[in-house]
Amino acid sequence: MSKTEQNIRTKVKQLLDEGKIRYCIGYETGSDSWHVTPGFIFDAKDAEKIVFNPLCANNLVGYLTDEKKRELRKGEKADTRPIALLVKGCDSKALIQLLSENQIQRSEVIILGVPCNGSIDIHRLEKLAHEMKLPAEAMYSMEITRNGNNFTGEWKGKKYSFPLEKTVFDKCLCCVTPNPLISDELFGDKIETTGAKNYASVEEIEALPVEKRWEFWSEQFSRCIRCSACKNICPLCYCKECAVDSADIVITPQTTSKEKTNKMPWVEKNSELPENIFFHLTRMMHMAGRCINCGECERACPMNIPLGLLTKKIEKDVKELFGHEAGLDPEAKSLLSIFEEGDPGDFIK
Amino acid sequence: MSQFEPVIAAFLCNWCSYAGADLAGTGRMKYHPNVKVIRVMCSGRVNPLFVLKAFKEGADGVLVSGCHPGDCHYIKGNMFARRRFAVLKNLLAYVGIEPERFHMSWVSASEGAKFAQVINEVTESVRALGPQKKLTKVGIDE
Repeated sequence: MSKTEQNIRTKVKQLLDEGKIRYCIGYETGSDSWHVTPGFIFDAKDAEKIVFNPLCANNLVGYLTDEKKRELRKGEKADTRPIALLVKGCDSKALIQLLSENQIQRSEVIILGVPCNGSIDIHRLEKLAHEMKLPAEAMYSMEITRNGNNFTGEWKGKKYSFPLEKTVFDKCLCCVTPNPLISDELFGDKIETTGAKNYASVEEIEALPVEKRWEFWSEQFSRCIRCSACKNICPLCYCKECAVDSADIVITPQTTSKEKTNKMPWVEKNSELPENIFFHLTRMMHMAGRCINCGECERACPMNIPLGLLTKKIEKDVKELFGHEAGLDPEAKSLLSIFEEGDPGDFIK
Repeated sequence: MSQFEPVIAAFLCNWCSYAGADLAGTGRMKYHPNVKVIRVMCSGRVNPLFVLKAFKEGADGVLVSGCHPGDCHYIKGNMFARRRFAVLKNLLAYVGIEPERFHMSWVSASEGAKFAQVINEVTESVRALGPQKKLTKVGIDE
């Protein structure tokens, strides 16, 4: 157990003992030591369950808006105490974006910041472990720690080393915010930024001729099963009613125009290619200037659609067109609700 | 073989472009009849979803037209539209939709001739691309 982990546990225990927080959202061990799940700690004695290691990939910020949407149970009194939340560098950007959109107030959350120098994509790690012919029982029981540019694990006296670039998420390789941009308390030492923003993967697609681009994306989107995992995991998709949720409406002569407009079936339920493209493009339009590229949608996608290529494209575009970057300033205005006189307009006749 | 006649969905703002279209009509100007005009109160009213939906319903091209910057009846609606569609246009091109299928223009109420010219240009550029099949929903046939 690392010192950081110990410090987090002590702090959470103290906060819960003093009754200063409602609960803490952190990470705990799942079915085995390689699977880390979000953990909700209500009781001080459960603080020992909190873990923090390179396998903690989830962005926990979304749970804050979920909590806001939750209706009170019968007889339950509203609790106004803040929630303690564990955030990594990229998560802190999502949190700042939510603050700037007034979805949460700063007083409603106690931010426990942890610098992170790359989180492991468990699927890549598993693949690597298979390639390295690791014994099956070793795979899920060894503890993984960061060691310079490698991750190392020990099992039955034998040491294994996993290279960084083969195990972490793509977004971590070009991470520029390893330290939380906003926090009440910081655990662990600040990490020096080594990465640089890298849009090579996006530029590669942009350079293709239009038909090749279509070939690539139509293949990707046709695999979509429209499970909405990308939308549900997104920390910034918090609308109660979503434009791309299919509306169940039967139009009869009695249906008023108001009902029709309020329940416009933008996207149909089937997962045909045009509907899938509509779904993803709409999602991207709604993320323009807001997406902080935490990579959760790509991680959650069961069909391995490279959604990161879309979010990165949006990030690159708003940066180039409007010089806007999401998730840096809690006072920033939403990109598409403001304008500048000199916005690019050369595409307009 | 007869020439391909594209369907262009045009979202025109009530105060400028729609009046411009009106002027083109009263001025007996000739332009391609491929355009299906949808009047909206402001180009800022046009949600990017409208454009995608138009493609999904079988439009071969989409035109969004509003007042010149600074002329908006609602002062700044067209400025918001400009931001929005700059993003959408790039995004459509990125996923492999021909960029010539989506157009935006500023046409004022006095520019009947410009309206006719814009419609002709848009129609010709879409005609050159042929029918739009990529985003059209399954089950719509010509």
